[in-house]
Amino acid sequence: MLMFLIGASVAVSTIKSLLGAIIVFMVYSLIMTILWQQLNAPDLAITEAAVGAGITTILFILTLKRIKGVRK
Amino acid sequence: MRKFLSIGITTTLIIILLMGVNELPTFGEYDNPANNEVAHYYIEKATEDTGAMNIVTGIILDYRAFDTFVESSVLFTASIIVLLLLKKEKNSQDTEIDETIIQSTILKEVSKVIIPCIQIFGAYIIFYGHLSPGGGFAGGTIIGTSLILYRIIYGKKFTDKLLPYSRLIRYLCGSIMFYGLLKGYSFITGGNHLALPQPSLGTPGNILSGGFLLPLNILVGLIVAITIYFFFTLFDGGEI
Repeated sequence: MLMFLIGASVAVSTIKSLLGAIIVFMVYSLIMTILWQQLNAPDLAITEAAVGAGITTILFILTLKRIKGVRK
Repeated sequence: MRKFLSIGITTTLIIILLMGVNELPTFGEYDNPANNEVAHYYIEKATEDTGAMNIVTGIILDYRAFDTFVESSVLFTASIIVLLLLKKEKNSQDTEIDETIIQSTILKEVSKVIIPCIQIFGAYIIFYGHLSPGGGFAGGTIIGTSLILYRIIYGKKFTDKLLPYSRLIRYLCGSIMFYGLLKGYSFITGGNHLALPQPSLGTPGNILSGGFLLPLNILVGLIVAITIYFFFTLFDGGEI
């Protein structure tokens, strides 16, 4: 799990496509959620799932739409 | 020249920061400042003092409630600033409507089923914040997400009727003022032996227990949900 986390965080900074980077970042948040749950911190797990995987992704994608960063 | 300058500044900064790290106490020592008696006191007395089964909520909404108050004022300030900067005026020239209303029937029907479930889950997290994991912040985020889903699927005309701007801003300002009033009241009356009425702590484990915790949770949830909805709508089109 930790190796996957490190792999995801390296991938975020190296991926060329912006949309791909956002999706990998969301995957990173989801793994982090599971890790918080494993560390007996369900409070943080709920918040990480809602804020990290939900809101941040929505705001990033909105920004991407605004600056027309998605190639069709 | 500029390259050498930037390398020099970065190295100096790294050295200063590493020297600062060197001054920190050793990890895991017994008499570190982090291992003082406060943590033990919280773990032993939190349920007794605050009436919360969930110690985290007991700490952030009772012992350190002003910290949470300023956190929610940070959210409030952020939404006010975003409103100031991004809100479009009604009569301005460049109000072209570039909103795409989704026509898909499948999305509309599925969202009719799923949005109430999301909202009930968010409300559950807020109302049980002092009994089980969660609290105002997490539950407010979940409710805010469901409002965003409404906005994406049904468009501006629908949310105008349901959540008009004036009502949202009134809730936002009202909740933060009410939070300050409630916590200020309990702060002033709590330590000074004034014989003013206090809400009873109740039996730990019931929903209606824990004194101020439940209303404070609801207020924080309202603030967070409305702030997140504001962020989405303003970044999306500049109109609420």
